[in-house]
Amino acid sequence: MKKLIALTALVLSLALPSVAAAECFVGYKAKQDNPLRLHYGVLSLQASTCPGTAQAAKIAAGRLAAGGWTLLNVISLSTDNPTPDMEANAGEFYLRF
Amino acid sequence: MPVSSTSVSDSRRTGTRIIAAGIAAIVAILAIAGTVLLLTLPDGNAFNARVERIFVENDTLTSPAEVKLLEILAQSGTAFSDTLASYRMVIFVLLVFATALLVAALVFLVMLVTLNRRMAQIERSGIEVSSLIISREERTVYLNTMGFKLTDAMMETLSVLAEARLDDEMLSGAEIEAMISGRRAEDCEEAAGATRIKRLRDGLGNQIVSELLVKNIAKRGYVLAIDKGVIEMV
Repeated sequence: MKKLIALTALVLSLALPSVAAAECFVGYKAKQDNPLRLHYGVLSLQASTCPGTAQAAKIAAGRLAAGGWTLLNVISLSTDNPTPDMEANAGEFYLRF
Repeated sequence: MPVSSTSVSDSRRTGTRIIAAGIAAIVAILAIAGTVLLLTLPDGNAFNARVERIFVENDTLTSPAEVKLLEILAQSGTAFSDTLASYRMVIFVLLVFATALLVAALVFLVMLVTLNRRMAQIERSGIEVSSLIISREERTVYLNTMGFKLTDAMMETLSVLAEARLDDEMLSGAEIEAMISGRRAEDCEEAAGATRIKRLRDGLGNQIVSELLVKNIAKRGYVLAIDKGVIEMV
């Protein structure tokens, strides 16, 4: 029982800041041609709720194009903070665009 | 004689047709092969597109190591396609050589067939004049390699005929007589020209037949100048 309360507290403490930040995190894949370069990255949209995938893809494509990348697809949309895994995988492209 | 010469030129014409069709077929086949080669050999972008598709289709392929591996895969594909491009060059050069050789082979083949037919034709028709040299000083006419002595009058007749042939003209008996005697054609008789032609035929014909058929070997006698095997009695 005590353990459950502690877990709930942990979840709340993790969830609350994201609500407070009011951000939507988009996991995406992008590429550059000649030579082919690929990356997985995470970017954040300043919105309390996430838009539809198509809308998010449009915004992400615009931002990536400014950096010289082409958006391939959007994998995840979430208002939750990205997991450490996602952060590690995105590497240098975590919240870069 | 006109009939046989027509058939020779006929075989030549069919030969030309066969050559044209054959060359067209060879070039078409090799052109198709080249096009297929061009279209089927993948270029560097084909590898890149494949790798890109793998990356997009698998949502779990997100770790930096995996992404790096995919990039390396695409690069090796591109390197391979460069190699293929050089191979393509080599293959094209070989295709061109193959075309040239096939065309040459076909031309020679048809030439051989035509020559064979021509040879048979010549064997049948007896004498075929490939060169006629008129030597006025020696008073001799050379047919191919055989020389025939003619009288002055015959030389004149033959020369007039040869000149007319060079100009693609036909001469009547009176015209021949006019050119040789230097008078006007209206004043000459047809019969005089005909006589000249008859003498030329007799003189030249005799010598040709004696050279080709009935040989006269001095102090020994006469013999047919033909192969024993071709003689048949019916």
